[in-house]
Amino acid sequence: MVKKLIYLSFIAIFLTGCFKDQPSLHDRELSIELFVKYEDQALKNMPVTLRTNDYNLSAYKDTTDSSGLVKFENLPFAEYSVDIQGEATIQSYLDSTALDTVMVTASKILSPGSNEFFQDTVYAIVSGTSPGIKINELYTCGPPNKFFYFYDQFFELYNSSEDTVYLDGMVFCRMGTWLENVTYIFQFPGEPMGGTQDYPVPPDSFVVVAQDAFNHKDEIFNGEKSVDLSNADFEFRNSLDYGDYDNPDVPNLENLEEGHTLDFMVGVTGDIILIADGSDVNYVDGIDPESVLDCVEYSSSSTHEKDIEDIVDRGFAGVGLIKYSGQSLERISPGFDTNNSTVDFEIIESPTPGYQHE
Amino acid sequence: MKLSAKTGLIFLTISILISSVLAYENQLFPGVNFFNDQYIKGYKQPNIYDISSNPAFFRTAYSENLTVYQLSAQRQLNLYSRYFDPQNKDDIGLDLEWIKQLSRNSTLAAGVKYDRSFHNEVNRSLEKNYYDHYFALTDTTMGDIEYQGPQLSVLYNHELADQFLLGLEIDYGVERGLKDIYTECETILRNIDMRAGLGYQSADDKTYAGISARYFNRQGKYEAVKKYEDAFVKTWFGYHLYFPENPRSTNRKDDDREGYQLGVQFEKKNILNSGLGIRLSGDYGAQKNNTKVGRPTFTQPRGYWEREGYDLTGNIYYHKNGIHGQLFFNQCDFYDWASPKIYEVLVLENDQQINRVGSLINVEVFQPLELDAGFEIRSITTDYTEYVADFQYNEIRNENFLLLGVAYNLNSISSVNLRGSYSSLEPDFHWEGIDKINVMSLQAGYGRQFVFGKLDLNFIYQLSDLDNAEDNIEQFGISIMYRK
Repeated sequence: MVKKLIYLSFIAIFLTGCFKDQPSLHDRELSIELFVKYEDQALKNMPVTLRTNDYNLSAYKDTTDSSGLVKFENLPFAEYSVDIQGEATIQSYLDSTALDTVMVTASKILSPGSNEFFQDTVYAIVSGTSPGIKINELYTCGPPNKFFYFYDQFFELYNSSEDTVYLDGMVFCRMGTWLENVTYIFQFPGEPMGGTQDYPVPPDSFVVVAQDAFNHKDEIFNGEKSVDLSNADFEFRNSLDYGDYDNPDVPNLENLEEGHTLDFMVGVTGDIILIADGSDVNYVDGIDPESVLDCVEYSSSSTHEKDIEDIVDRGFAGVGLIKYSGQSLERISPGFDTNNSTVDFEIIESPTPGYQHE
Repeated sequence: MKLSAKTGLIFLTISILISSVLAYENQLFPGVNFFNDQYIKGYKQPNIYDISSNPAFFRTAYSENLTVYQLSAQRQLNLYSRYFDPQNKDDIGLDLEWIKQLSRNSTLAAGVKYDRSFHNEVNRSLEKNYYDHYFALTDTTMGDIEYQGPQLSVLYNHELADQFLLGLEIDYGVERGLKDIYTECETILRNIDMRAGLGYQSADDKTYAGISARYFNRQGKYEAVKKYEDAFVKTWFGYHLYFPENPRSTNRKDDDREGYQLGVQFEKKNILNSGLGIRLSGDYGAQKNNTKVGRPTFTQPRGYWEREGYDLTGNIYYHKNGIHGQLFFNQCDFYDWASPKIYEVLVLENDQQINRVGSLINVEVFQPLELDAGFEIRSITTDYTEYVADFQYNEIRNENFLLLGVAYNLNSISSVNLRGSYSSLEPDFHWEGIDKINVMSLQAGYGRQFVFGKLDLNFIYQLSDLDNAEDNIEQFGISIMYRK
């Protein structure tokens, strides 16, 4: 019996050893200090926002002090994205003795680890996005349905400049991982770069580009759920796809890719969409970055690894987007563009073709 | 997991269907229900096995061959329900148990149980009881979930040498659950619970001492799948914050539990031939729980929590001249801590102590008439903190239970019994806005001896009246038991 007792004692000791040490640190004791700079210049009074996808917590907001420092205390341990956008007074490029007031922006992912104090420097850049044609809304995920219907996809463009912009000859692309990988390329009618000026977009106006320009509500859903695209401004058309619907009243974006037989269909919860001025239509070697007017990467997964080059989009939109839910992605305000889709876009519960959500 | 919630359930389900309610969930300290109907009406006498579950003492409780078959059914109408509770529940259970005296010094017991439980209109929860989990899984739909599965148990009790007893017990169960609508979550639980004990029994059968060890292990798998839409699943950290899982075709949760318990027991019977006796049982134990969530091929750590504590139980009893009485106490003290696993920090802590004292008396008033009366007073001290949500709950709750019962032998082969109870419970923060729950229960039974054995038929009705709420909770139950 003594042997059995010893054996039982061994079991007890072994089991106790399998348990972990209790952490000494409580959650919500994390402090983050961020220095916000533009090149070597500290940016003061700059609004800074911390967001996390690890918990359903609201964003933490504060402003940098005179030394460009912002402190967040009593934060939960989590991964944060820091977003900075605001006006800054910086040295002028043209005249080193003068000062310019410009919009600057910055974003960064902070992974603080298990140390209670985390410090980092975030470098802002001048918001490199000039006003012009923007991809303002992407409706990709399809309406609520049980037969995988997503053919009511559309893209909404917006002219954020003060001048009329002409869409003639511009190209609309679905991209692969990089700018050199073009999956689809469709072109607006007309000649690019001022060759023709038949398709004007006045300032502050919207353009709807449909995959198929008909009333998906009546045709498919009997007045429910989907969206009426019969009055779209343009539709994608592939003459090699003999079943592709063509609305005779709506001008087409034609497929440029040889041998491509599909309509302009994009991933319902993840893809990369790009619009370029049409100066580079040789899709085999990719799209010239200089010609890109706007690019949006989106993915429903928060752990998605960023694909397209930072120069065209520094983030990705759509985390939490649900397939076949009728949700849409739209810029937080018309034409709002910091070249970071993570902060520029938000998920809206239903599409708003031709107008901005409230 | 909240022990208070579990012990509350024991009060709420006085006698029938306890096995199905607690099936597949290994509790570190399961607790003793001193008001168990079998305990009072007894085809067994009060004994040290009841309060310790040391299988070495099984023979002291069951010294004869016994066969018990029980079929039971219960319906619970949650006219008032918490956010993640079902609107109603139906339970059906079949228990088959056999005890065989193999020889003068060997006893074998075996049991087979099969439970089916229907949780109807469950709001969002993918857990059998959302409020029992620190890292619970939810989705965004309301649906019916059906749970079913068998449990097997085997116990062997052997007298090693004069006065020394050895006992081994293994319980094994598998349960499958399926939600009827998107996300059509499927749960599979596998449970194993093993106990080993050594005991000493004095030559005059008046003194018992023992030690026991218990090891339990539970594996849980959950799979919430998409159907046309992504499976929109959340993992909760405590009860106020959640992590939205990535939309994907299938979300998988692995919920594993492992623990051990070490105990010592002592009993002194019929002290100075007065009919007085004393029993003591003490246990120390710990359990760890590991939760991972992700896609089926790769789950990521989401939460880890441990519980450590002790449980002391004892009673002083009097057993003479047709009077069975006892004073009992129980103190259960445990501490839980949880970490989100990704970061080595404490996400929540729960320090809880439950003190129970009470008394139970069974008197044979005259030959065909027996009376039962009992009470229990409980004090539950809880210090619960969720650090991320900045939530604290620090309360002392008091709960009371009263029982009155009468059993009448109609003739030499048939009897009736009637039991009524009233309990006053102070629910914790999970019952937001509810200050008090008054539970009234009425149970009626009829038993008849046949040549082939004895049949017992029992009905129960229970009403839980909630303060500050218009609706209540009702339970109806029926059981039929054959024993020989």
